[in-house]
Amino acid sequence: MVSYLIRRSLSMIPILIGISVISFSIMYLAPGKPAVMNLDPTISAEARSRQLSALGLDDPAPIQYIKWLGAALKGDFGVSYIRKRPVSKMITERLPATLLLMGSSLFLASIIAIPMGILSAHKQYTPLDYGITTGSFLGIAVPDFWLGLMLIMLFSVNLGWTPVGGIATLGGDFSVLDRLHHLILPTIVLATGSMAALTRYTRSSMLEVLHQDYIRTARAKGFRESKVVMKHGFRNGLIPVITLFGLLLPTLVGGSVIVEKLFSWPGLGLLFIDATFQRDYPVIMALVMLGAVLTVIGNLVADLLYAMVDPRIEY
Amino acid sequence: MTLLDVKNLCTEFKSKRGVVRVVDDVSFSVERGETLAIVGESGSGKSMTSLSIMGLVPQPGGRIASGQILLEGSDLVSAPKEALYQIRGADIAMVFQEPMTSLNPVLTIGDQIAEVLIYHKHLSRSAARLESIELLKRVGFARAESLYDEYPHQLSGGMRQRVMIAIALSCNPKLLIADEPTTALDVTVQAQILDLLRRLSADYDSGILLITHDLGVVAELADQVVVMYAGQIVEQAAVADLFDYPQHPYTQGLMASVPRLDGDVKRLTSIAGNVPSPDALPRGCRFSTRCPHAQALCVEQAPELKPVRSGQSARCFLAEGRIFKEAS
Ligand SMILES: Nc1ncnc2c1ncn2[C@@H]1O[C@H](COP(=O)(O)OP(=O)(O)OP(=O)(O)O)[C@@H](O)[C@H]1O
Ligand SMILES: [Mg+2]
Repeated sequence: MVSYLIRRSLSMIPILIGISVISFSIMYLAPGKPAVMNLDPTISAEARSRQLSALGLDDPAPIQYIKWLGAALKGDFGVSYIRKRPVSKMITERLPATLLLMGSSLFLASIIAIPMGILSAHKQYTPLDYGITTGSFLGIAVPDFWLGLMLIMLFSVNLGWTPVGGIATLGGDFSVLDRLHHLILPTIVLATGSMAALTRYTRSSMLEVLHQDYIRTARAKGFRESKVVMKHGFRNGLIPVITLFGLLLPTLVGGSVIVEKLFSWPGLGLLFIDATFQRDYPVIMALVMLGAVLTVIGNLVADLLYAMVDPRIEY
Repeated sequence: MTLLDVKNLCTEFKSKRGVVRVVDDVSFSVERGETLAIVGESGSGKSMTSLSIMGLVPQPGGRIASGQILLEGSDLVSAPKEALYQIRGADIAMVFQEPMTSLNPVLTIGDQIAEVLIYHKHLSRSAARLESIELLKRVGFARAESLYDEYPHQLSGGMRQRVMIAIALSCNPKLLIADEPTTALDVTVQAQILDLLRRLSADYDSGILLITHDLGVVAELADQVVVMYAGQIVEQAAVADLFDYPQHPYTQGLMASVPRLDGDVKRLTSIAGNVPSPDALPRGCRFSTRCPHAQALCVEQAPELKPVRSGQSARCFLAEGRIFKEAS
């Protein structure tokens, strides 16, 4: 187990290095050099080149990359071109908001999708199954930004039940209720896609399990359907679903960018969008790497969970 | 009172090509302490007959179309679901044909035995544990304690089948259905399991419905034998009569296909052809396509199951005396 963990962690290193090289190259090649974009256009050419070399931007690309990597390994992702603050500090400030949103979405998606998927499989080819299936295809098809706008229009503008955006009432004191109130719409929007995928996946996994011989054995023991499905079916059906959680993380990371923008949720997604439009490369690089690390760790956690549920897997 | 009385059981599957009847008008009975064997080739409806008795005909599509299954006089076919939850696993237990896949891979061996005791006998978890270990010992495991916490994938096929038997025996069932309990296993393990079944019927006076391809097993264990072909019973007799005076050409063919050490090697034959599929049955006798004695009448008309000797019935015009063997 420990040696498996070590092996897996080591194998993450080349993946992360690969991602950083690719992202760095793309950003280096992208039009709109930060130096040109963000420096005062009125300064002299001499002053400009001085500033460039101060930022290390006149080095050849490989040197720039290695400098970046060396600093990044020490947790230093440079200073934002725009806000002139350390990137790592900006990230740690905003990380909790994003984790909260992603966590609550994953939670909402799971508690709705898994029971739905099980129900859909158990009642295969009934109106209930068709209803759930149609619902989940809608959930997959509807774009986040459209759904978000519709919900804002309905619940925030027309009904006035929920805030239009933000993480807390301006000027108000922090309260859990207020936070939840602000959290509810973005969570729903971010959860929709994952929920739909998770429902479909749970359904097909459970369908396969419910046709297994050991389910027949459970029925032959005299158990009621609910016990057959929950005790004997569920844990087996869950095994492949766990892998999906690992795969959902990148989707959530990507989705949170749109949702945070839409709801002015002060998390990393919002930071990412702003940084992208402002060509704030140190911030973009740091966020891309954070997304990559999250994804890789998510997959590792999924594999470990897999081993916990399935006794046949040993490391 | 008769332990199990199956009367005119018909089980059907609905498929795209229409309804197929895979068990057709099957009747037999099992007394306490008695072993009844059902033999027949693959696809003849043996498993569907036993699943019908368990009330576990595969869904969706399968159903019992008509007939009665009386357990000590009360009908299981018309019984409410709630009643079946009490009977299955307690009064009737079943050992399945597929030992490798019949245990739940994510639950421990012990858990899968104990859960039955907790459910039917309302034992506490610790009492159920002790009794499960006893059961494991009874089916021949020396290291029952350590086995309790192991998972199915750590066991061989023979061990898993013995665990399945332990599960089936857990509530001392009145009727044990064993669907080819030894087919997937090697010979020494087969002998162990047969021995186990024999002791069960002797010690607990349980009735056993034993399904098998293997006439050697029938000769060893059975009191009564039902021979099935394409969903129907073609012959029914006490075991000695069946072996000494097989009446139906199909039974005769089965007997002839068993290799005999004492007999002439030339007798080792097998029945040519295959069981017709249930959606493409011949019009007359279902065996007529493969029967060495088939005549015009057999192709035209379907014979009925009729008593031909005392305690012995056959579904054959030849046995009835309506046709005679042509000299060959
Ligand atoms: N789920 C199903 N749907 C449709 N037809 C089925 C289904 N299960 C079994 N059958 C059909 O029912 C018939 C009887 O099958 P059954 O399993 O009872 O045979 P069997 O005598 O037990 O054979 P074997 O010796 O191979 O176990 C076969 O023709 C089979 O094709
Ligand atoms: Mg079978």
